[in-house]
Amino acid sequence: MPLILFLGNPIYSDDRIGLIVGEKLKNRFEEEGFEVEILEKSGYNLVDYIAGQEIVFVVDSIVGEVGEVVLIENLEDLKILFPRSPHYSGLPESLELMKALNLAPKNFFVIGICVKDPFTISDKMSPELEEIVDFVAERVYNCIKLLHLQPRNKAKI
Amino acid sequence: MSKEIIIDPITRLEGHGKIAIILDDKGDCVRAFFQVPELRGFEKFAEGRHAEDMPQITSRICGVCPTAHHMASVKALDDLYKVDPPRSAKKIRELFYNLFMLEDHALHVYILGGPDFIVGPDAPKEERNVIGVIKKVGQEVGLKVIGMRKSIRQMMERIGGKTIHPVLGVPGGISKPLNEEIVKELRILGDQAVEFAQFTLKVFKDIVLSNKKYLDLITSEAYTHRTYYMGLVDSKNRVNFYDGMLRVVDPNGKEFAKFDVHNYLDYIAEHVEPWSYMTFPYLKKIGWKGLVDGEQSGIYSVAPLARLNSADGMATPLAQEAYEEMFDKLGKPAHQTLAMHWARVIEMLYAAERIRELANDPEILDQNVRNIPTAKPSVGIGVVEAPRGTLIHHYETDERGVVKRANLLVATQHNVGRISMSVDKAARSLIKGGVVNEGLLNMVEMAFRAYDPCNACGTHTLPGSLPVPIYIYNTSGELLKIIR
Repeated sequence: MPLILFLGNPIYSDDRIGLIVGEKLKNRFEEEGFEVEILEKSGYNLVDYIAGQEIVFVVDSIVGEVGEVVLIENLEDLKILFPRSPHYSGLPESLELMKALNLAPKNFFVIGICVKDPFTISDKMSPELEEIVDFVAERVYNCIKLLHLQPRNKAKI
Repeated sequence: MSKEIIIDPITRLEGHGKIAIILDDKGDCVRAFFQVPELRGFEKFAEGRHAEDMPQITSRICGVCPTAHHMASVKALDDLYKVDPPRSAKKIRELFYNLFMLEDHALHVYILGGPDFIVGPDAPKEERNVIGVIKKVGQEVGLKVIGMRKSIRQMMERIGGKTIHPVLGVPGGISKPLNEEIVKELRILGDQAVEFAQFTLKVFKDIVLSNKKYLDLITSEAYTHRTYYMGLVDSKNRVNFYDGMLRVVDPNGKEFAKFDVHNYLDYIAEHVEPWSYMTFPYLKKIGWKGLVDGEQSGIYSVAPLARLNSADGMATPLAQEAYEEMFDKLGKPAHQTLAMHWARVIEMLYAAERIRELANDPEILDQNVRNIPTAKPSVGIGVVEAPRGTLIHHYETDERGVVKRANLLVATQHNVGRISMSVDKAARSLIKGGVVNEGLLNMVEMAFRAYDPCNACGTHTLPGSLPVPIYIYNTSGELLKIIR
């Protein structure tokens, strides 16, 4: 069963977007046969979920053009991008660890939701992101569905 | 022309910090500064919120030590509402907390700090990581580490509701009692944990301590500071992660102070440097004498080595044996920063033994796990030993329990003076003649990685990749180079 991890932190401004989108899409994906976890976790803490899975999608915030949804193509990109997200530190290394232990998923995709500010401690999102949450959720849904139909094995791990 | 190098941590969570290394005309390091992010923004965020929410909110500061924040916060709430939890609740909290300590220390030993020694400080960058560790110790060991951490985390989830952001603690106790099924599994896990910790100690001895080169590095003057040390101790002055008195020993190992956390402001003051946003805690009665070590300087340290230095022993037999062996070898107090890794392994053993002890204590099955608070709140202060050192939560509220002021004194803050000195000394010792290569920078990084600093993840990164960009300046302030 393909696994989707929605990541975020509810006290870091736009970083909560992954959690919100996850709540919006959880039932829909589960009805379609996906396993869904909405997690306030990162890096090595994700190993327990990812290890041994066949197909994994990780949805998280990333600094960029607000509302854009980007597919992070490979592990090297993930390493470069982690300063732009609170959660990627340790994720590339976790994947390398799982690979070394023959526990890495065959298909691994990171889907970044571009936001303005995932770092500031705040219980509010940026207004421009708040306005388009439903739109973003649909983009994420379509992205995952497309990838699931045609797994590209892009995580070069 | 002299140069300045700055290692600038990536912007993460609540801010950024950097390391600046200044070179003279000959290219020798003349000074290095370490700056780390603060958590003050978070304290402001706490104002106006209900104190009961703080254990959940504070555990979300970062993903590194949520259980420590949760527990310090819950203890502050006990104090705020003047309610003493039942013995069973205290024991379950301590058991839960030791599960966290073991899991967190294992992460550092095998993945974060371990590669520096298990693979080697001067190993190529691409090998100085967890993959290098697995190559060295074998895939089976890697699976063992992953499996043990997973078992611990699953147990934490069963006891605390969630692994990362537990909902275990409430003012006056815990949210739910344990049942026999969980306790039965805890007893099995306790045995496995002790075996795992013993195995880790053996790995450390076989790979690190039996290697003269590594031992020389650990004991080298470049990584040594004679400072004060602080940690929680029980009634027999033994290490305790969950509760006790704060004890400070001087650089000669003599008790300097022992106090209840309620009096921490009588003992600890904070100094401000113009070049950093972070304050530098120091011992009030000694005073701030700058970034220097020795008996006359108020700089002190927390974290595993400091805990062992400030205690008279360990409360469990296997950990005590390992404790004695370390101090026989290094002397006590041990001032060698890199011995932090050794102390961490000893603490793993203590945590595992304590889990086993508490899992076999019949009192943890007592169903009375909470005393309901009735007092009006005003001030609450709580303390635990986080993996990285002493963590204090201090809340002041109105009569409704709404936070008016919060002060969180985190381990990395206590350590910042010593970390600054460590980086400075390592850089001065290692960077000569303008040679600033990756291997040397890694050895500078090792000086602060040993503390396992929790700058909300920013520097909590891995060997093999610089956790911070490096800026090179000349003495005129001209930026010459950035290394990322």
